[in-house]
Amino acid sequence: MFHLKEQHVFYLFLMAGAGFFLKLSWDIPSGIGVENDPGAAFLPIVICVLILFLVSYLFVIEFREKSEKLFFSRAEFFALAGTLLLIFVYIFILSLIGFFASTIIFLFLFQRLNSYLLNSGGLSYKSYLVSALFSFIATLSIYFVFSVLFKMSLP
Amino acid sequence: MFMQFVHSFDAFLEPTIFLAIAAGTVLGLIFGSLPGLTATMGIALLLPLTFSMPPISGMGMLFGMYCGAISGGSIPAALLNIPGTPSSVATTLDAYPMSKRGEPGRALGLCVVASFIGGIISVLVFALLSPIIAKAALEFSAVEYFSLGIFGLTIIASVSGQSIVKGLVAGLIGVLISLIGIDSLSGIVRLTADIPDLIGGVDFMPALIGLFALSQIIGDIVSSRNAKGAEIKIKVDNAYPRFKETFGLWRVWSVSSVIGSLVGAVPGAGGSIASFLAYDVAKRQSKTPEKFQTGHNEGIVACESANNGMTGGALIPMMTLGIPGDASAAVLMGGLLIHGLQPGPLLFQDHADIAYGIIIAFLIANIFMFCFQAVGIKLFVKVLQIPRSFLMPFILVMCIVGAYGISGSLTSAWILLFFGIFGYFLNRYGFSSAPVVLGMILGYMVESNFRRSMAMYDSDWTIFFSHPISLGFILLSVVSILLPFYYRYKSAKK
Repeated sequence: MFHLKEQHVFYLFLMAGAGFFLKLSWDIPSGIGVENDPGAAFLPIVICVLILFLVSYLFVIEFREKSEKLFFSRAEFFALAGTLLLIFVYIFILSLIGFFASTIIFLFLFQRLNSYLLNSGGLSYKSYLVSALFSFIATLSIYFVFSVLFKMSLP
Repeated sequence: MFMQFVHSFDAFLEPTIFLAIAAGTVLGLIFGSLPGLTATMGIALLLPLTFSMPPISGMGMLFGMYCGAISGGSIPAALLNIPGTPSSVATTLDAYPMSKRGEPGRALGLCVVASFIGGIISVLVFALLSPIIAKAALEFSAVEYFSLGIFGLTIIASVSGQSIVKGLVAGLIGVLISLIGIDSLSGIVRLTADIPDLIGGVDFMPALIGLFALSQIIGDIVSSRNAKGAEIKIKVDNAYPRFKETFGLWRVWSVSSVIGSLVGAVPGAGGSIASFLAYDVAKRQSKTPEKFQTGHNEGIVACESANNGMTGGALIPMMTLGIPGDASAAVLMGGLLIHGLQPGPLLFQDHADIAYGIIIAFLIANIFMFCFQAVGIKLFVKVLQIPRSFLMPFILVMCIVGAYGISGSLTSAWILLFFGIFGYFLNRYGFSSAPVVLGMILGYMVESNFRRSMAMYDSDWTIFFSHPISLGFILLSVVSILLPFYYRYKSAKK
């Protein structure tokens, strides 16, 4: 009996990635370099073939294994999607509006998301005020540590 | 060697080094105290900040974080039965029962002194063995380095994660990533998929922070782990170091510290194996083995001496051979690379002042770790009450800004995000991020030395078997792959 699990999708991604890199490795020009050197393509090809073989093995083995199915719950999916979306937007707007504005907005929204996910803080006016205050102080302290104390460049 | 040590002390006339080590140690204790935040994650987060520091200060800060986090992990292990770091899992066996029967202060006090003793013995082992191994490794040629790299990859892949195959896959992915960019031997640009930013290779630091810090944050948020952190309220009385009691157990801490240091020096073994092994030995040698797992002081001292003893051991292969002993050592290796210092035998020859300075910084980190815990253990207990809804967003911004800060380019932030997501899925499906990073470190070493050997010896494959040291490493590689299968077979037979 076969049991399709969530990790099979991940294995397919890994196999596709290994296949893609195998194609790139195949296209690496050979015959350049020192005599007797196996070439720049040798190890990448070996590695890609090994990854394809081992992941295929995992795919088949876990397909046949009768274990507890692992699937994202609805809450987990929303937490993951929300987190990744916020990080994506944050990195994107960092270069557009700069460190201060983007970090304050990101920290505020992310803290609210976390409070919601952890069921702490609630939706009261006070909790929003605490989140805003946290965003401001945290942004200032990160700026102080990175830019003032360690003289590192910020976007 | 002794004179080089003495010369290295000159660097410590600068008081900022002490400040850097102290800051790293305090942050390490805070990180270790918070369940879910590991030493590796803390070091990865601090890495960007050390970029602008002199090498010894930067490494001192990272060592402070390393020692502090390993020791701080005993706080939630003793008080809540939740190991703060994986290496304090064994500590829960006796420290928690002792706390539960109304002696949390005594449990913490024993942890503090045992951690300190383990740390100091590991510094001695580190200081004595490193120059000897580094000197021996100077004789290695490309042939030996190739076999050593293969050994590093096999042992690390086989002990990391839930399955050997998954460990190997993760290690191979790391090797493949390390091959992206310009091939240093032929000058060919390879595997970049025509992305100009990849010509110089995948930026190691953001990948590291992504795999060890961001992936963990995403995992923590998605599973909403330890959500009740803010509600934890524990009263700890009499939390002071138990010198008299600990020194009475000299046989336990001396044996356990040495076990920790030696196990730590084996690439891939890690603190959790070290502390369980020391616990087992202490139990076998004890006059009262029946008291173990009921809150016995010998059990606590054995585990804590061993897991802090492991810290120095894990640095030996990293500093002398360029092979990280565990995930934390891999990230610490990044701390050297960030300053353009290549770990390996030449470090002790070409930069002896820095190499010995780093050993002294490690000693100071251990002393600070003890002092801060002796004075402020109650404060570190309060760290358990920090709400995660505030902590996680703050750490996340530190990751992104830190990745940007090293290169000054937002490409690093995108690399960080990619590796953060990749690391999250690796962890979710039972792989481990550690072999990926170790593959990234060892990939270049394996490939370049393999090709050099082939070019030097007319493509003669037998060369790896005819050099005795190389043959030794290859045999060790075979043993390290077969050993887990043997153990599995043995346990199935039982």
